[in-house]
Amino acid sequence: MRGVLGMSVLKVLESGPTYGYAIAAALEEAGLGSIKGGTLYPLLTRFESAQLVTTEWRAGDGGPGRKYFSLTDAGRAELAQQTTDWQAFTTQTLTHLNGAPNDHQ
Amino acid sequence: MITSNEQRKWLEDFIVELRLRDVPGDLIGDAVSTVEAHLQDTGESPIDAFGPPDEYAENLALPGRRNGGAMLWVGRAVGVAAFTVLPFAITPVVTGRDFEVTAVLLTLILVVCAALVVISVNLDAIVRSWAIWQSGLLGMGIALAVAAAIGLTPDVVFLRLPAIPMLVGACLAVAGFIWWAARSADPVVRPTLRIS
Repeated sequence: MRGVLGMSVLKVLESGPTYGYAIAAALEEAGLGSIKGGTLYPLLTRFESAQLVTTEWRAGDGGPGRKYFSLTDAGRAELAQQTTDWQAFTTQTLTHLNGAPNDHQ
Repeated sequence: MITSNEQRKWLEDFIVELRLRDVPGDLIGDAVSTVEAHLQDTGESPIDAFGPPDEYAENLALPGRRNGGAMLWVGRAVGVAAFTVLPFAITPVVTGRDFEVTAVLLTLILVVCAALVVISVNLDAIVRSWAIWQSGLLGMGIALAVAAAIGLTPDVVFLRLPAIPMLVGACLAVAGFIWWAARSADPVVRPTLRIS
């Protein structure tokens, strides 16, 4: 599931820079469940170390400001690669699952 | 902003955990601000959103600051020597005698350095899990070692040095150490906000 979550987070960032809570909200809206901060930020920090995202603090309305994450070119390439791999994997799995019961005897 | 006691306590523990991992101050400030912003958005308690502070600090896997390890110890040893010599350097100036480099003085410097090493090596355990009586016991042990060093070391004088230059030198060394310690302090720095 961790790989799927990572891919999904990169996908949210594809439409433009955004902050942690908005990423979690977008994933929940997409039906991927609620992601806790304790899971999300370590993932985003790893993306930052791997230079898949860059970060910038922007002032908010009276709050402490928000840390915005933007996808880099390497991040876009990673998302494309993972999407391709995921499609190949699910296609194979579905072919297997939809196969006739006697195929492997 | 309004922060509950629970949140303040959680953030304090979180900062301690990151400090123990030698994470630089600007990265700590960034991580703390991220937690605060997230909690403000979700309205969750820190333990619900992030789990225990030590686990979250571990999972974040922020880089530690591992530069100047040897320099740090040389600096501390010089600091211990300077602070130990300074009081011994005052009396000879007042009484008009020479400054004496004695076995007691050298032993004292060694004992204090050794105590510092013992504390540094056990810092994680002392901060995380030691009860007050355990820290008290360590403190008493160090005090006893200092007393024993003074009491048991033979009264030998290795070297006599002019008192006034010695006092001036000790003062300069103490001042230098304070300057160095202040310079190498690494405060928690909040991220700079870009106003858009």
